[in-house]
Amino acid sequence: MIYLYLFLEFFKVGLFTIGGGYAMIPLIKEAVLSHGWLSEAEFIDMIGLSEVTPGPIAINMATFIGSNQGGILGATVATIGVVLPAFLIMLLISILLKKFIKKRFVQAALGGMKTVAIALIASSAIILFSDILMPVSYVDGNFNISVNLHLIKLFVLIVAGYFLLKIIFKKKVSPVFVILMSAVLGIVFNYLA
Amino acid sequence: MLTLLQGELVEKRKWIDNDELMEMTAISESTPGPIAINLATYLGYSRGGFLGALFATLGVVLPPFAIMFAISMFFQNLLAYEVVQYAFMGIKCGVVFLLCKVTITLLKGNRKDWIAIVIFAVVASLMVIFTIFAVSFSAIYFILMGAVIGLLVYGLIPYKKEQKK
Repeated sequence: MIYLYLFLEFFKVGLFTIGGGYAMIPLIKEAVLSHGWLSEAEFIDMIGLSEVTPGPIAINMATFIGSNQGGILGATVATIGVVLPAFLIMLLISILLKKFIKKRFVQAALGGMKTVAIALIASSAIILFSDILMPVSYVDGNFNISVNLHLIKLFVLIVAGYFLLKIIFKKKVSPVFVILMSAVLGIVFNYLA
Repeated sequence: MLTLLQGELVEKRKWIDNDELMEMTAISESTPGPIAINLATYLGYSRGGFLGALFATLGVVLPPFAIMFAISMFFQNLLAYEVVQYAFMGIKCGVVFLLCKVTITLLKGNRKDWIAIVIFAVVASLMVIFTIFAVSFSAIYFILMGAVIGLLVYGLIPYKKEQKK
């Protein structure tokens, strides 16, 4: 049964994300949290891990979660699930109607979907930011905010580190580099504090 | 990613030219799924039919699959070390920072008409509100609604106006 769920959930992720990369994060988050495959903290670790390993984030995640839940077979079905929609749709476009995607109504629908995809990424950014640095909970009609000062200091340090690197190297700092720098700063900061 | 593809496909193998690569990237960005998969399937099919598409896609999936599978075997043990936990504390903050950065970059590149601004504001705030109050509502519905609104506002309504003229 787990194999079927893995396949279906990742098939949905593959089918409904347009733009690739970060656009997949909100849907993967929904899938893994609702099935209890990962906790939110583990999910964020996974994004970091996927960022520093080669290949598309969606495939990294599908393989890792599939492997955790169902070994090699789980990893295989989850990965096939996330790849299959893209493969089939592209095949169809190549065979039948290369011009289809350029049609004005297709582009119009995509225009709306892309804005939603960005809004979903933005909401993920806000939710993860809050959950890690200042978790908000709503219990019995009261909002509780607990500020994690330790992590906020680390966060500020990382942002400062990023802009410092950007000024020194005078060009774009790749996400891989940001994650590696964050890991080093995390270690140094915790041993010093 | 794009620079790697350009070096390998355009300059070394001469399978496609720069314009074709740009067009393929644009198509890949407007079809579902990881962009690397879209590109591999598309290029594979155009050079070698169905088998070409299959093997090109397998080629782009296998390396990350093998690497992640290997990592998943010992990742849990790795987390037992204090130094690794500290590293991941930093990585968590780094990921949040990257997500904020990506959001801003994407917003800059997106269309800026008022419909887009309203869709963005409504969807982003509803998602946050739903999360706080633990309302379960799939993001997929928002994506589908986005398609319908886009079709109406950017497609049908301007089309009807043109027809009248």
